[in-house]
Amino acid sequence: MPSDQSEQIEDLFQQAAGLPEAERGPFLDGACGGNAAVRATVEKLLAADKEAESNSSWEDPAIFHEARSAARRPAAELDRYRLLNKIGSGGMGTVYKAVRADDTFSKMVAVKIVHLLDHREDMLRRFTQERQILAGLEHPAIVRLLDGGATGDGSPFLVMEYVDGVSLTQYIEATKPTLRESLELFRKICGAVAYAHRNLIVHRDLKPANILVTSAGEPKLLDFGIATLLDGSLPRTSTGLGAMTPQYASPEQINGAPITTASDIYSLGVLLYELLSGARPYGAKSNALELAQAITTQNPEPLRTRSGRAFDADLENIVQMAMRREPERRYATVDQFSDDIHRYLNGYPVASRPDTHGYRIRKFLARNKLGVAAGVLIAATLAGGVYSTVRQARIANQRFNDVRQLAHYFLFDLHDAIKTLPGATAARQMMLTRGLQYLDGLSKEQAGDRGLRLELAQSYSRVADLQGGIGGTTANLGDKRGAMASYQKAVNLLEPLAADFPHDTEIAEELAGTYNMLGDLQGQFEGDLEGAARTLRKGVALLEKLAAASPGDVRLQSTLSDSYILLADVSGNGSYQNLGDAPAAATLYRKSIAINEKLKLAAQADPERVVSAALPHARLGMVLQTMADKEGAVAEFRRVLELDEEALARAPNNTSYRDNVAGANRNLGLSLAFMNRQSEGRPFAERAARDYEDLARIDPKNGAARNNLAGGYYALAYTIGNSPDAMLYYDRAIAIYEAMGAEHPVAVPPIGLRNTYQYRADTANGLGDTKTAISSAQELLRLDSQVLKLSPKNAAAQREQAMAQFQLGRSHEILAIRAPVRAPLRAQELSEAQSWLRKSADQYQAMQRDGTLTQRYAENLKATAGALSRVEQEMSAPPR
Amino acid sequence: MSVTESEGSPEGAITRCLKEWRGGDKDALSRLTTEVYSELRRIAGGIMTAESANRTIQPTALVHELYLHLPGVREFDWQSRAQFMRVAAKMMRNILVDHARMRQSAKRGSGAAPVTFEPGGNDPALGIDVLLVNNALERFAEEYPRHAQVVELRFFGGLTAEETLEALRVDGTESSLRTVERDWKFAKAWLQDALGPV
Repeated sequence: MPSDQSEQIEDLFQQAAGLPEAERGPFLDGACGGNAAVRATVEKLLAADKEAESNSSWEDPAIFHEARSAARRPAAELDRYRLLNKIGSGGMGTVYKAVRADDTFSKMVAVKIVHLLDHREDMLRRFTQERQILAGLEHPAIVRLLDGGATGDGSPFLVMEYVDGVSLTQYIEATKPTLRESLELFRKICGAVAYAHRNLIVHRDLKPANILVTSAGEPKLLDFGIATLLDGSLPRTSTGLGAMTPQYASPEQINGAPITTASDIYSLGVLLYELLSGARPYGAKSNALELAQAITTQNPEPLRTRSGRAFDADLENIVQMAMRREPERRYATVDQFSDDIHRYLNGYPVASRPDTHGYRIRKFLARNKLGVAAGVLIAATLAGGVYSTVRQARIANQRFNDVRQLAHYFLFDLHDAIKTLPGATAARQMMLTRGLQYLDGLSKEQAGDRGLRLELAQSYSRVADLQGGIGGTTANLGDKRGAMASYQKAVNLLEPLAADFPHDTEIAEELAGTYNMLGDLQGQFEGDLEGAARTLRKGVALLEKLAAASPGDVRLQSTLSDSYILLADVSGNGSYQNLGDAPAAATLYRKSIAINEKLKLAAQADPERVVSAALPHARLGMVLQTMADKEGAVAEFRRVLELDEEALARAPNNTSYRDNVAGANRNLGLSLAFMNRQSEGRPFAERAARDYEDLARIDPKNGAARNNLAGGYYALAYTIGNSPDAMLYYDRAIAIYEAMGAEHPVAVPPIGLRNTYQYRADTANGLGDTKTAISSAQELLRLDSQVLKLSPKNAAAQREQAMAQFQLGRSHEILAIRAPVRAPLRAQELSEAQSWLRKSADQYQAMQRDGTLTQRYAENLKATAGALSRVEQEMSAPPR
Repeated sequence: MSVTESEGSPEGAITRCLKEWRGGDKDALSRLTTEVYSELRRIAGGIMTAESANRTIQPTALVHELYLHLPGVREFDWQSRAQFMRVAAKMMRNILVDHARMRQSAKRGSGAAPVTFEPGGNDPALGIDVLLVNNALERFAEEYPRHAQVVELRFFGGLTAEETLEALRVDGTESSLRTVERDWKFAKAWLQDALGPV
């Protein structure tokens, strides 16, 4: 409202303006009463008045030059099209039939010029962005968006495929289809809408006028997502009706609530209602307000009431289900809607049902989301279709950010919320899948934003961890292959990102960390050792560069240490799938040890650091073992035990440290036994087995604990040496490995199982139990062939196989020697022995040709050749 | 399907919106706005291409053109007509301001509107910057809301004093012809002052 002073100013102005100029001064002297500010303002206005009266623009607004030029400006991008005739117009725009101006074939198109009230830049940019999304919709029943741009006056326009057809209403009136034909046509419409929903596009304005039917009877949907494009650019009213067609609007549309795929389902319901009954569900309402009220407060009347004809109860239910007022109670997806009609057409029971107890219970549970049953609920919801959850995320608006949030919601919030609930695994799997689909979509759209790209990559890594990466040791889904694919995607996003931002340490660290995870899975799960080494080397190279630049960065240094260890493992650690290059592995472990010594010194009191420092020592010990540096191995294992005991002393209740100590004891015991110091090693192995038994008892479902227990048993067995007691522990180990393999089949058999069979065969030989030795060696061959199937060039596995063949040959030779001279059994065993020994020799020779047989194992070839000639000589010798 | 989906003719839509609005449907006003806006644009485009470049188009001409295209509007009672005028004036303001903004952003090279703007040239009448007027008018409206409405109706809508009075009345603003003239005079002075010397 005008202030008193405003009024005073105008009053004085009007009075003074009515006076001759000469009288104005004296008038103001008296009227202003000494208020100099008011007087100055009035005088200023009087001067301006004079100017204004001489400015013809006020009475003859030349601004219409602007209007004129606005309308006359060259039509910019629209120039590419020659508009022929107007074929329709509505609140949002005008549609013209047109041809491309430069098109010699004169392909007909439809051009829709959209009238926006607001030409703000961000609006136009958003329009362009969304247009690109729409252009991606390719479905036979959706009118294709071909092009678009801005007209001379900045109005956006869309160029669409021109469809020679009539509106759905006209088509129905002209052809009078049967019920079945109507339903089949409707299902085609559903197919198009479902397709769009899968692309996260909501139509928002489904109505007969937006559905054309060609002369062939094929529906073509128009204006997909156009309503979404225009959201916010049209004047909004208190009821949110805007330019919407109220007859087909859903209750949430009228209430101004988020509009989602469920809104389209509602509109489809209205469409079906009309198709079937020939009437509108709420009858004739004299104005929009009444109609809006009916839509938001009443259930549609049954089809029979409005049409006067009887309808199958199933059809009534289907329509009612699609048109439920609460979005979450409608069909969860258009596909479900369509499937239900399909079932109806084929005489199957339909899924739509009137309200049930189940529904009410679910609704109750939904309000108590944190209750125990939430997992079950979410699983049920997801099984029905994730769109009900999509709905909550308001994908219709600000699609991109919402999808981003939604993906996060699926991948992280929701996932974390339910992962500890029993029975949630299926739901989790589904959420991950869906979340990844969204991310996939986003990563295709993303336009180069650093933050988004990094976020997407991190999301993929996170998903991979959850799927089954080594990072997610707690309760991961065991889907290693899926995890690898997700890590690979993260790498694919990060590599170009790192190239774009070469000095960005955050990106580089993320990439290096992801290389570590991916490389480890490639090698240890897939058996792709070369690929694993390549991946891990990239990480090492990246981290070495970074670490050199910032030597004080502890996190960076420890990531580098991890990389060295993982690369060393795959390069030549006999306890893992490896490429057989033990010296290279040892070098890498020593690099890791050097880093850890530094870090340990830097953080004396931190037991975590102590544990990390022990790790490469343990690995180095294993490698020295393979390199026959048994003394060196024992020294490393002693160091490991020292460090692990130090950590446990600082945190005596930490089960993970206890686990480490057990591992150290086991390895030390075993390494002593390898030096033929069994009795010295046995106490360590016994301690280890006892600890592992305890740990496995605490957490019987823990796979790692069971695996360790098996490892403890066979190590103990080995330190026991040639005694039937040893066989007992080997068998226990085998039983554990096999139970685990049955529960979670893996491509690569655990190395521990192979070791167990190996030692078991050795021990059996030592005990003179040749039969057991043979069966063990056969198991070894089975395991080796599994490994070789995955990586045929795996030199270590080739060598192991040759050794197992040698062992089999030797065992059969022993049986032959033990057999009575003339028995047919003897000849049989000899020929068996010959066959295995020959295979073994062939294998070694092949390796020698390939250059993969190291000096150390060349001895084995000699031994095999010797045994073979001995057996063959025996075979050719005449019976004595 | 029994009900034909008719987009309807523009005048039909405008008349319907007016009737619904008069019948108490508050939403009808915003629908009316949309209808009038699109029709104005369409007509403006038609006139402009038909006219020679040298002729200036008056706001009144455009609004009257709208009358011609919408025979139904001519039959309106004074209240409907006034309402229509009011809406048309508001829309004209929007159109002009939008356009001027676009022109400005095109000059800045923001790339929002890929257009080559045809400048007003040497027409001496083009003495007032629409955006400046619009900004000044927004400030003016805070102190003098009734006066500001008069400016919108006369300056942007091209209405006569009588039409302005009708449009104000239908909106519930009591005024008289004399008041409209006085308001207009004061407003011009105020805005001229705010805009500075031409």
